[in-house]
Amino acid sequence: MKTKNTPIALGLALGLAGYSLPAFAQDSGEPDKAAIEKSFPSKPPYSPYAGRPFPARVYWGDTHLHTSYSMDAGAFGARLGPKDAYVFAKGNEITASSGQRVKLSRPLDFLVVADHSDGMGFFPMLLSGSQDVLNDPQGKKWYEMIQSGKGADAALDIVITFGKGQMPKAIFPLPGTAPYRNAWAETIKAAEEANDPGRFTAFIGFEWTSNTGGNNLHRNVIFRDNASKASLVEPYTTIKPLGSDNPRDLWKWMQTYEDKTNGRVLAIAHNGNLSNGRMFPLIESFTGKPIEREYAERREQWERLYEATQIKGDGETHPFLSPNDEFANFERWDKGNLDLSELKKPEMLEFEYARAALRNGLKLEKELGVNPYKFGMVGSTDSHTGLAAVEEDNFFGKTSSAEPSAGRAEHPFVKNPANPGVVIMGWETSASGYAGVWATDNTREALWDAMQRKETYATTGPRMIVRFFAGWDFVTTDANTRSPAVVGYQKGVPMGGDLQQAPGGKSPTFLVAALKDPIGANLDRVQIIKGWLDGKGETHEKVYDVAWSGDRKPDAKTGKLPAVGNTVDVPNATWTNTIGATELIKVWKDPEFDAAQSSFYYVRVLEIPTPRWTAYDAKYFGIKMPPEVTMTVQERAYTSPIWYTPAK
Amino acid sequence: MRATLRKLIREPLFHFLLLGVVIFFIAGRSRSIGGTSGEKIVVTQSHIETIVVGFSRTWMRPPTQEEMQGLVDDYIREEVLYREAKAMGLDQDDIIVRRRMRQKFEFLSEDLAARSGPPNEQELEAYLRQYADKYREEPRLTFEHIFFNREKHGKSAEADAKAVLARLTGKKGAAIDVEKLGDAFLLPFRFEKISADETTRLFGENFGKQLVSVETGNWAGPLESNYGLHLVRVDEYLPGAAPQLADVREAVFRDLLSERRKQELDAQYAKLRARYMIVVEPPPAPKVAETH
Repeated sequence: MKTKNTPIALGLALGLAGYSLPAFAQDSGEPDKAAIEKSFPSKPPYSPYAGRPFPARVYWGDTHLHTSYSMDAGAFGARLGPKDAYVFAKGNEITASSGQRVKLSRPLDFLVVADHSDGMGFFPMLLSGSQDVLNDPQGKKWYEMIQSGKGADAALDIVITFGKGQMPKAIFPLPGTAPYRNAWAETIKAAEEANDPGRFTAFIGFEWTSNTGGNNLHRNVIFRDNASKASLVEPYTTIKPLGSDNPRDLWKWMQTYEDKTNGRVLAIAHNGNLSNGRMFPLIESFTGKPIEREYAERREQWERLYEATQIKGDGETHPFLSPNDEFANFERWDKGNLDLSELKKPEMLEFEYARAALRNGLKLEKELGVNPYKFGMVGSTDSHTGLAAVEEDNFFGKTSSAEPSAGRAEHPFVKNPANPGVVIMGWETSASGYAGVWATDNTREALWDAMQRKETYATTGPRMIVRFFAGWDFVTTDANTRSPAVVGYQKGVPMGGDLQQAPGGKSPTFLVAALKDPIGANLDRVQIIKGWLDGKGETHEKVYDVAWSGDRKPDAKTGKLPAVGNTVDVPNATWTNTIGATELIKVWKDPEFDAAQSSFYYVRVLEIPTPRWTAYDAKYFGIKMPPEVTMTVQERAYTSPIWYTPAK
Repeated sequence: MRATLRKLIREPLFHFLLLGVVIFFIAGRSRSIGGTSGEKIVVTQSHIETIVVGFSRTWMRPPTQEEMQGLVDDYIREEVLYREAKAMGLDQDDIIVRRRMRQKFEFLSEDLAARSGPPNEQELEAYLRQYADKYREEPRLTFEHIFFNREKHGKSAEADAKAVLARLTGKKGAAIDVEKLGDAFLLPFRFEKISADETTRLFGENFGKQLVSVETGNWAGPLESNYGLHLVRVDEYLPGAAPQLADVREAVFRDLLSERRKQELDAQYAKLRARYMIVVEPPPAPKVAETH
């Protein structure tokens, strides 16, 4: 069976085969112990970070941003392309598609422009009014609609036509056609020009948008490589015969890319909440059969991360799945699938949310020997504006038509005539999120490698610093050392890592630390969320409050920690840092550990309540929001889990 | 694609169409249309050529006979309505027309500025020297810090930090193991050649501003960051080096060109303005309710 290491292993084998055996004889003279010792210093260097390859800095970015090159983004008015997107992410002020000036509070460290591969570059092509477009009756019609000021009608018509799979072949950019090649070449060029190793990383990437029946099975594909490799291929699409809507075929394409170019790619799925029970299946929707070992291996191999929070709702968990989690009801989108063509049923939820998937992963690992859902966490925007702007006071919306305006909150975001009365409103879009990546340097290689090893976490927008380590020997005083990360890496594994077979009678210990966003709100609490598989094959979950601000005491009966309080002044869209903590550090030991049960642990950090973007909108535009609109938010971070696997 | 859109917006035809709609609307409501009868409209060959070129550029092919007829008819229609509108004075006090005229004038002047040719090497060098500060790389710092968490120290945070500072700057200061001092912190304690801007991003504005003015070599502080108090020792301060032209050529070229354009416009405006005698009437007395 092939593994992703094949090319390397093969390379090694070939390399070795090139030498005849006597080459192992010394040709550098006899070893001299004293001389060798000199090159291994006896005293550690002064700087605790020097000489250690572990990451000292977290880098912030968005792994999922659309520009006008995405068909739907273009349809909704996005006129900013990949180049503009990178310029903006670097902290420069630009003009948004709606004509408003916009700038981030501080630059991002990296960005992946991930435009939909299907129809990539369709809008720039359509707007150019090229010969190809005008020769096609449908293309001509749309072009003329746009030229005559009926752009919105054209956009709707295009989106509906695409949804029905009736796009005219002649003008739809497909792999192998000139417009498609151009769009991909432009995408790569923009990334190459913006990439500035050490300062800013511009990844080459795209989104593979499997959306059959309106069920969201989307994946973002991110290249570790430069243009020299990425330009050897054209992004994989979902339209047959060149593409496919089945993730297994995407994985095959990824394998082919790596085999052909010796490059590396990874995929990040998102919005299971809009997949109607298909994102993390036990029974595959494509075959109706239980997933088998091959599926589990490939998914674990290619899908190292999951985008757990973004504008189209939060994906950590759902109150139906986590009834005892008082923070589970967060930025919830559970009315139906992506286009609301099919409404949600409670039994779908288990196969849509990250926490439930992590639990089912343990179950599948027991059955199949491989855990397909062993993913780390990132947050990203999925913004379709070319602007990775998801701060609550600087939210530029999901689409260009939802950029700041007095009416955007009360404008329907998704509705479908098939289900009248069910609407997702503009105010339900969530100003979220970003990806924090613990990498050794700000380069494509270092960041990608960190994603591959899952040393990442998701936030809903703020840039709090979160460390999470697990080992067998952390002690209370480790939380008091000056650099918790140094002891963390010495004694344990970081987020995304693994613990195996507990040493006799020991329970796992965890070192967790969180520091507030330097310009953001204080922290309410740090929680560790545990999931495990019991002896009967059932999974469970439990949320532990581990560290919190102030001198709050958990309730003696319920064990619940009292709420942190609320300083939000909604009409003025302000809050104060008079409650909460700037920093929370703690060593925690699992009090209910069973060495025979597989489990996972991840950290959730909660900020104190702050004004939601809807409050900033109401203040700025002087409008009154309807009573059902949420006006405050407890922003949060989710780390990648650390897994414990018992001896087999 | 943005360029296409921009081109469209700049296209005079687009503006005239817009204007045409307005005029048509107004004209339709008024009974009689002004203008003199018997005036001649000649569609010259050069007009026709312009029409053909405009069409071909948009549609990537020459117009057919039928389309050509339509275009010419439309041109005539436009010309008739344009003249009538002008005769009625519809172009006056119209903010769009005024702005457009001003814009056209400025475009023209800019073109004149560009005609003097691209800046040469010496001019670029001179410009770079003149505005050296603008192109200077950001200052970079190598520094170390000790953190004091206000939540741990409470009211004595300042005093505690100062006490540690006194020990560090005292006689035996050099022998103290700095790693044992202060509180836990999640950012590194030592930064190598970090830009001043990035320091601000990590620690907050106040800290970033103060740090650049700390003298190098000795422990100092405490400085207040967005997290708490810090004693700092700046080991190295690298003022941003003035870059060579080769490193920033593109930016210098762009900036010099845009400066020249601006100068040209200003100079021309000054000349034109001198032709006018300008009277600004005093603003009307404000209608303010009398105060009691």
